[in-house]
Amino acid sequence: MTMTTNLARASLGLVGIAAVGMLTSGCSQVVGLASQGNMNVIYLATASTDVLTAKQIPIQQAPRCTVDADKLYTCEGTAADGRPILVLVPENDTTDPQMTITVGEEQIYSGSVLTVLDDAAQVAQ
Amino acid sequence: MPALGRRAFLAATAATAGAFALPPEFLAAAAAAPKVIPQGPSTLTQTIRLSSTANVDYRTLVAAPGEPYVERIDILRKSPNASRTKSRRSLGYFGHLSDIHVIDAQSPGRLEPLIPVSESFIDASRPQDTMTVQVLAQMVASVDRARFSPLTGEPMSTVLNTGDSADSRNNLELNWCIDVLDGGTVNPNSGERGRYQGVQIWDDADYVYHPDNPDLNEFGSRGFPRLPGVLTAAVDQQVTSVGLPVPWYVTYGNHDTLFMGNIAVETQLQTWAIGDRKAALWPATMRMMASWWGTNSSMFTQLVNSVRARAEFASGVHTVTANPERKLFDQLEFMQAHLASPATPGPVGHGFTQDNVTTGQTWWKADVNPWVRVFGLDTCNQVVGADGAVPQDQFDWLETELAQATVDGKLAIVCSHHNSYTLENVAEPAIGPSQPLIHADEFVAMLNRYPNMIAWVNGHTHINTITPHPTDDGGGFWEITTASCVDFPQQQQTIEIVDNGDGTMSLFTTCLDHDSPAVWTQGDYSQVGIASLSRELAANAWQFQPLPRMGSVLDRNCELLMRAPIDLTRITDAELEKESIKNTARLLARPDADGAAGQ
Repeated sequence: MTMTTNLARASLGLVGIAAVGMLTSGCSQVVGLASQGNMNVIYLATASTDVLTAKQIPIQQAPRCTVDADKLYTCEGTAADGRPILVLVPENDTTDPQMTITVGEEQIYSGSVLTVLDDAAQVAQ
Repeated sequence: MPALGRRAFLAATAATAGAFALPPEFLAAAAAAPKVIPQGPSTLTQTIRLSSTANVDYRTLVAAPGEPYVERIDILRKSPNASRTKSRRSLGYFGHLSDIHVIDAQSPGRLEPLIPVSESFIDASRPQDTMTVQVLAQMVASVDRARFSPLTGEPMSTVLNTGDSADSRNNLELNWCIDVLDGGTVNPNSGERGRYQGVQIWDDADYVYHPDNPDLNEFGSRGFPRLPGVLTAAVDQQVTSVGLPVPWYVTYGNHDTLFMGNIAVETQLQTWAIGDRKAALWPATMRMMASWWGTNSSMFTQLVNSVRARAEFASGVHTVTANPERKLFDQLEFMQAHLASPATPGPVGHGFTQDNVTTGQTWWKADVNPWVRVFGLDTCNQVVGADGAVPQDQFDWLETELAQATVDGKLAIVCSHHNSYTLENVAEPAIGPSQPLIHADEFVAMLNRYPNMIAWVNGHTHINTITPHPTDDGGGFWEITTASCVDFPQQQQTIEIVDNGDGTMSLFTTCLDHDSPAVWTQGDYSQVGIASLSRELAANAWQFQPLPRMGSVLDRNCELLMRAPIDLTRITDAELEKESIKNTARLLARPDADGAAGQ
């Protein structure tokens, strides 16, 4: 895992998991008027899937993420061997959200969402 | 071995050659040749990633290994039959474009000065705003290079464009987009020849990237490069496009419907867009709007009034070259512009017909081959907001049409701009007629009532995303969302429908990078170089969250498996070969095209 750069930190800080509704997107010039749909569930699903595939866990159903009224995020999926995949973002951290990923009883990742996204976007070490 | 008998093959090639003005023997030879899998560049063989230089803010891009197809069984829910790779038959190979966002960066009708007011306005200026025509031209070149499937070697038949062709409803932006898609030469300078006029060169607009002087603001401290003359080079060069190789269809995007994707167009805004006064500072923007505040109660005016409370009027208005061609187009003019587009690559109207203009119906259907029917929806809100919904009348129309497609034995693909994550707009007109708006859950449930519905193809979020919508009985459809031409990774895609010959079918998605080097060469201001530079700038535009927009590996090059919703054996090999001959003939008939795979 590489060090997340300052750029990525600043950039992905805007992705902060709790910043729902404040995010701009490519299609919205004036999102303050009507925020675009929940981009963070897409970002979190992306990061979760990146972890699963990096760890070579065959997937039957890729994680689908939802957010509840308290802005807490949960993703659920299924591994190819039938084990449930569960992703949780337990704390409302807007700058560096942390996630845990468990497959069945096994926790396979606990750490930064942003670091995962940063690593996925850059050339492999 | 051809499926058609020799006599039928020659008859088919002769008839098709006549339709495309080709020598029959030329087409027969091309159609009889073994299918060749193109070996040219694609994301199957090369991807583009950020360089991994840690602790450096601005990162260049590098070439990285390709990504092979990844199987997805979210809908099939079982391991696929390994022997399917030997029995595949292509049922259609398409291009998918979305969120092209051609930008006339010099237009006075943009909202750059509001960027310092709120983060919400950040999209009003990207570092690469002046380079969108070059990016589109090179994306079209990439689609052209992918005109033969990298999986089966079959020719492409159709391109689907799911909206946001123009960024700010500017007539020039729309025309440039159409011209580049059709092929030809575009001069993306709406102002004075030999000069860029806009916020990226005005020192008082210190909130945007200044390539001539990046140290003016945070862009410099973040390592954005000094690029003297690049703005003029970008807007003042003739951009040449090879044109899409096949007919293309289009739907509305929110940027084709509302001003800058969010707000209704005002008469005064129309005047402003074509005038010679462009604001660099937000107080000046407010002042320019002041003359019509008192008589207008629109959402846009309400927005402006809310900002005005903080305003201290100052200077910040610059004189630019006026251009009446920058006029803001309306809903009908969007369709009319496509109807005015040339017959080749066609189709005339690109999905819209004169009947659409007459009735105002902004959605369409088309049989893109004998067994695939495509429905182009307009999910854009006419009142306010970037996100969308499906109006009741369109919802009812689509449900009726899906039922008919089932009767007709057609596979169905729905195209729209918005996706299931962004189909939640509730805005309705305060006065005048309105109708219920259908949102994502109800829309998906309706689509899933029709087993022949195989794919919902869309855009809007500028992120590669593939979302399964399974049903409890083992059916369902795939939702395929492509990224954009404007934000990193500046990717589009191809989609191929494949009969696996075992009661299942697959949709193969392949990401396309635009046809420019992964690594930008310092000082290369050519068309290709500017496209390459645009991608590098987009990758570093931290305000736009560039990194997650690639999606995961399960959102890019994928084989999306599903149960075959109809008896695919009814589609004979002879029918497939006839269609292949027709599509091959179309490619051979293009001016200056050799039609060969992998060229």
